[in-house]
Amino acid sequence: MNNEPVAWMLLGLEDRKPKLINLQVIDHLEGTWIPLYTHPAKNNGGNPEELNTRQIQDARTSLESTPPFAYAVVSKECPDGMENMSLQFNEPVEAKKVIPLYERPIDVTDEEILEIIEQVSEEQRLVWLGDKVIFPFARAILKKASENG
Amino acid sequence: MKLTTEEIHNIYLHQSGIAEGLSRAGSDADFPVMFAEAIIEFYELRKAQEK
Repeated sequence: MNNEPVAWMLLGLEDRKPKLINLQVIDHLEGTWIPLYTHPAKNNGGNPEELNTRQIQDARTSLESTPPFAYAVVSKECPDGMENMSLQFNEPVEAKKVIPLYERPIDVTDEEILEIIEQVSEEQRLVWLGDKVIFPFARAILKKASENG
Repeated sequence: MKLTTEEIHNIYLHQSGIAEGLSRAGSDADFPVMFAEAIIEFYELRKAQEK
């Protein structure tokens, strides 16, 4: 799973509210740039980065939609060359541009994957799959299956 | 949540980089397909239980 930032969110200096989502940090815009990750961190704090993560996770758990669950959105009324983005947790019906940001993690543990392999055929596993392949293969299968619906 | 045998083999090839194993894919012991179907079934069952 990709743990590198896929976008950055700018928090306002005074009200600490999200002002802009961009694919890179813009140096001359003052505020707190928070990297956004495809893999959510733990909810454990009160600082702005953790609060932001908690808001996203709360939104994720409150939705039953399939991935992705957060979008960067450019308003339909936004003029060309002024494509500031906002964050939305539901895909907007009317938008100029919608970029999926987050994917719901495939939450199957390594232990569960190994249990399934044992049920199918531990002997065959040694023939077909090395240990480095098993877990990414299993999660890639689930990701593709969820995309197919 | 259903994948075709071809889709499963493509994912297997992408993840493993091994093509030689698929020469056995037509046999009864097509492990990537058996495993993929088992893990999808497991995931669907668990999602159903959570609802």
